[in-house]
Order: sequence, then C-alpha cells, then structure tokens
Amino acid sequence: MSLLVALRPAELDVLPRKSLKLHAFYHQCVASGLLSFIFVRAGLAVWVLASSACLLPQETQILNPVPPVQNRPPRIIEEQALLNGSGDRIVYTGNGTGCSLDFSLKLSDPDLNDVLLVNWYAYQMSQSGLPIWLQEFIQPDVPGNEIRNTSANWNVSSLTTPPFSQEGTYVVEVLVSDGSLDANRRPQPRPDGTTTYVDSYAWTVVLQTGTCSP
Amino acid sequence: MRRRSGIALLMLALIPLRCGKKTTSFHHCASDSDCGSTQVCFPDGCGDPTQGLRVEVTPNAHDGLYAEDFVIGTQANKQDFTLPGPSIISGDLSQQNGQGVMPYSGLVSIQALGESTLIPGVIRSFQLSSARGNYQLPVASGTYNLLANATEEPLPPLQLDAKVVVAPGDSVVVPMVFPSSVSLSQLSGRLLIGGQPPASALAVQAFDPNTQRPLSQRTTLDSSGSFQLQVAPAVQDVLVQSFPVNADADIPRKTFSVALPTQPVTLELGVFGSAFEISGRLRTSNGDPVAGATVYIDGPVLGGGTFRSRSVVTSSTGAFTLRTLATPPDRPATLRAFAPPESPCGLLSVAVIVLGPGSVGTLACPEKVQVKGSVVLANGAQAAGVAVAAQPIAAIRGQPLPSSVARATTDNTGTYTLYVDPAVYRLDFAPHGQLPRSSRFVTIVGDPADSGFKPVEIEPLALSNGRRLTGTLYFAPTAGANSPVAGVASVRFFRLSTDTSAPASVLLAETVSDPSGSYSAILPAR
Repeated sequence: MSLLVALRPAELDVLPRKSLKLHAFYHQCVASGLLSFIFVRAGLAVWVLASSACLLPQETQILNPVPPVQNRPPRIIEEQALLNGSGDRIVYTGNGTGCSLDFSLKLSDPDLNDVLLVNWYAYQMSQSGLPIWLQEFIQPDVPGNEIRNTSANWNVSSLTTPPFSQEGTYVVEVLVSDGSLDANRRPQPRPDGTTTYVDSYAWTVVLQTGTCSP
Repeated sequence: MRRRSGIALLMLALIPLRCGKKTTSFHHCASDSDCGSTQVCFPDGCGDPTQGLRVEVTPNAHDGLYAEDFVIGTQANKQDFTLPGPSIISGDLSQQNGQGVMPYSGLVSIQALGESTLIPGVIRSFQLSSARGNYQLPVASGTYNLLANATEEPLPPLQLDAKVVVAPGDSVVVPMVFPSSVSLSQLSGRLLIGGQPPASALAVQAFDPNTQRPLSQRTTLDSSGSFQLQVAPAVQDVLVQSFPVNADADIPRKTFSVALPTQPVTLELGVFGSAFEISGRLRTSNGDPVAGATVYIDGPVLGGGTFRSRSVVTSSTGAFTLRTLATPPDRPATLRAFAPPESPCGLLSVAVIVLGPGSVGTLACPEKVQVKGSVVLANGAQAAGVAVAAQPIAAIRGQPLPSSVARATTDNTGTYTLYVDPAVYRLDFAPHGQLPRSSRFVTIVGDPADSGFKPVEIEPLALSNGRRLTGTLYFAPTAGANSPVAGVASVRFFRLSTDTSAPASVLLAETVSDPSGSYSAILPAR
C-alpha cells in the first residue's frame, strides 16, 4: 500500500496491470472517506485498550531472574559399548602373539558443543594416582549431534606390555566427562563455573599365559 | 659458461646444508596429488575411493544384535542397508565313548575367537560362560575358531580344527564332541621346591611345544605336590608349565619338557629363596621425576625358573618399590619402565642383577622421539584443529611394541608434535568438520642421540576432499515390509589394505544412525 502511495503518476505507466488495479482501489477509498474512517476507529480502539490496562490488578511479586543455563551430563550409550565386537563385560584372553583388545564406546551429550574428555584406565588394584593409559577428546560434530559420530576407542595390540603385563584379572575403566578431572579423578568446575559431569563404564579382563584361547 | 659451472657447483655444495634435517616419508603416498586424477591417497597407496568399501553395521550389541558386514562400490550419495538379523552359532555338546557319541551333560564354556570375514583385522570374540547339553552363541558375522572347555571335569580344552564362517543372519550348527576319556593321555607326578612339597598353592598345565595351545586344563597341586593332567589324545611331547595360583605370589614359573607316555614324573622348581624389596627412582634425562610410570622386573631367578614382579606405579617423586626374587649372579633380569603417554620419558629396559634387598639408584629413561609434521587442506591451506593419533602397529629393532597411543592437535599453522617410542605407526588424522579422516603408515626409527633420539620431521599430509553418503538401515522383513533400525546403530566404513606389513583394514569413516535408522557419513573423494 505504501509503495503505491509513493508512486508518482508518471511512473504508473510502467506498473503491471495488477498494480494499476490496486492503485485505482486506493484512490477510490480516499475519495469515499472510507480510509479515514478506518484510521479513526483503529486509533480509538488502541486508546481504549491501553487505558483499560490501568483497571487490571497488578502483579505484586518481583519476578526472579531467568535461571542461568545449566550444563547437562554426557552419557555412554550402553548398547554400543563393545569389547572385540561383543557386548560382554567379562572377557577371558591369552597374551600370545596376535591377541588384542579393542574397546569401543559411543557417547552422547545434549549440549552439542561440549568437548567430551575420555580417560581410559586399566588396573589390577585400585590406587591413587593411577595412570591414564589413553586420553581422548571427542570434538563436537559439525553440524552438531547429540550422539557423537566419533567413537571413543582403545585398541590394545600387545598383551605383554603394560598395562596388561602379567597374568591376572584387570579392570578396564573409562570415564567420560564434559570437563576436566583432577589427578584423583574428581570432576573440576568448568571454565564457565558450571558443574562437570562424569559417566563411567567398566570391563573385566582375565588374562592368562598362552594363546588367545582359554 | 665457466661462470655458470661455478654457480652450479655452489648450488650442489648448498644442497647438503639445506637437507641437514632428515624428513621421514609415509610408507606410500602423502597426498591425493601423488595419485591419478580419480584416485585418493590411502594408507596403503593410491586407490579408487568409490570401490571396495567394506561396511560394518552394529545395530545393538546390548541385545545381541552384533555387527553385520557388507561390501559396497558406489559413486551414488545414497546407500541403504538391509540387515538380515542375528547371526548364531549353535550345536549339541557330546562326548565320544566306546559305543559312539553320547550327549555330554557337564557344564561347558564356549568361546568364538576370530575376525570379520569381509573386514580382516577387525577382531571379534564372543563367549558363553555356561552351557549344558547344547549351546547357542550370538555372534557378529565373521570367521571363527571355536573352543569349548568343560568346567566340571578336567577334560582337555576342545578346539575345532576347521574355522567356522558365519555370514550376516546365518544360523550355523556346529556340534562340539569331546574325546572319550579312554583316549586321553594321563600325565601324573609331583612338583617340589627343594625336594619339599610347596607351601603355596601351585598349578600345572600342559601346552603344545609348537603352537602354545593348551593341551590340558590347569590343575592345582594337592598338599603333597601331586598332580594329574588329562592331556589331549595322540600327543607325544608336551611342555608342562608350573605357576602360582595367585599371580601375585612370590613364586617363579618354570617350564618342563615331558615326553608321553611316561611314568609319574617328579618336577623340581628349585630353591629360589624368599622375596625382598628393591627401590629406585625414575627421572627424565633432564632430571625431572617421572610420576605414574609402570615399573616391573622380569627374568631368570635362582632355581632355574623365571619371575615377573608385580607392576608398581611410580610416585610423584618418581620413586618405586618392587618386590622380587634374587637373580642368578651371572644372568640378569630386565627392569622395564613404561611412562604415561603424555610423558617425554620413553621405554626403559635395564639389565639388573639383583642379589638381595637394596636400591637400584636413580634410573634415567631415554627421551621419546619428537615427531613433527603438518597438515594442509586439499587446496593447500593450513589445516588447524586436526586431531592426530599415532597408533603403534608393529615393533622394530627387537623393542617391545609401545602400548600407548600418542595424540596431538594441529595448531593454527597446521603443525603438530608427537612424542613416541620407535615403532611402526598408523597416523590417523581426524579433521574437525566436513572433511573425511585420513590415515598413513610411517616407521619412526629413532636415531640415537645423547639422551634419547634425534627429532624426526614427517612430510606434510594433504587431507582429501569429502563426499557425503547417506542412507537408511533396515531390518529384513519378518512379515511384510522392511522396518527401519530403531535406536543407535554404529556404522563404520573401511578400506582393505594391500600393505601386507600393516593391519589388513583401515577405518575411513564412522557414524551412528538416528532413531529413524538414517545415517550420514563423510567419505574421501577426489
């Protein structure tokens, strides 16, 4: 409508037929006083609505500020927690040539931009200062996905060197966090002050001398 | 003319100066530009990126729906997969006797060890802890060795000679037949320590001298040191190994050669003495303490056996205390230290003769090899934020295969620095974004320097362009139409390697399906 008002009569020659029809309708309305009637009524309606607000009861409580954004925890997807392609949590293996262990996890985090820290541990007896045998950083997907395309993976191709250096029963534990952990595996606050969350998963590996067979 | 010759000579003289820094090359190509116009540089050389792709789809391992493998060769951008359903190995458990084969009613554990048939190198193992009368073992598609172990009586472990091939959705029937008791060789005897029955619990087991396959179950000695092994039929020579029931006990292992059949044998473990403690410290070549390193001693001990001490972890000051047995005065054991992956401390192997309690002093570990390289995009721009991982795949120079994976991320100039022990590695490059991952094989030899190894520079790697492949995962129809795979399924794309010195397959891409069964992956393209 405003476009048509701004047009000078000389420009009407180049307008398409539909625009010419609208232009003619506009001049017809002004001529008939219909448009000024609509404007007056609309202004009256706005004044009535605005002034009536003073008659409504007012909220006496002060609204609290919107709570800050909270971090949400990452999650290990258990149906894709694999050891040598199997969902078994306990595995018996020899330590001969060719024996290997392939641990794999899929992870999710509703915070699509969080980098996930994956720490892998293997030990026979839990003690302080356990070494991290593998540390991975799972970067956000592009475009972001709650379930990350990249898996956390630890392939142990030798069962004669640490951490699997002798016969016995081992725990392989993986901690997945969306922030850092200290040396005693306690989660540390994230740079933005929110809480770091941790999820964990564990397998038991029974290692015996000999071939991969029991 | 004479002036030109002089310039040429000057240039020749400068070339050695310029090439003073040694550059290590990847085993095959470095970039797609090294290949034909339609080819991509893969770890094993140039190849067609649209052909011979191997795909592993794992619908839900938690519910026993294990991996199913496919071969695809496509230039299309869409590829659906129909999963035939679970793969299962099953069969009856029986035992031979004089009249033929009779059902075996004892408890049996079953293990299937193997790898993917279509994607060799992808290890798969499945086990069933207890079965009676028959068994049913859900597996991924693959080629397996099948093993059965009777857990209620000392029958020798049963391993089938033929491999079992399971295709996706296959149900393969494999009966497991234990040999008759009368066909087994009986090996009995006593194991003594200095002529006396052992005070601690010990066990013995018979192994094949050539294949190291177990020919008997483990049997625990009774209080008089006596044992009786039931050995697989038709075996003449065996190795009998003795070891403590508790792996942490201060008792050595010893291996004895025995020819069958034989009268009861007497095996002597020898007098190895009592265990004692030795201490020490581990530091870098700069003198900094190495915390979190795993240390142990392994080697010969008095009495003729071998002993591997329990592994200990160094403290924040690099201190460690090991409990071990005395070595012969003329035969040293090896003290080994494995530092955490982030430490500059390399693998340490030191020959030590340990005659009694004391200190081995402060041990300086060699520095790891500093490996520097750079990554660029296909258009030559520097690639920042690329995750680089060095996975050890083969040992060199008789050194142990490193057990840790070194990791780094390229900086704003596209360069990365890794610290590794000498070995053959697969370097995996995972760019952040819409580009495919790349891998290369490289041998890090590590020329010795004063306190470790000289730095190594690796030739630059150019990432490939990517193409997006999408599709839907379906379960094969049980009645009516295909139904999409619900939940999170893992989808991995591999390429078979033609490099026989390296793992047989290399991961190209991985992704997960969404709840409607749809997936999307980025594959290398030219």
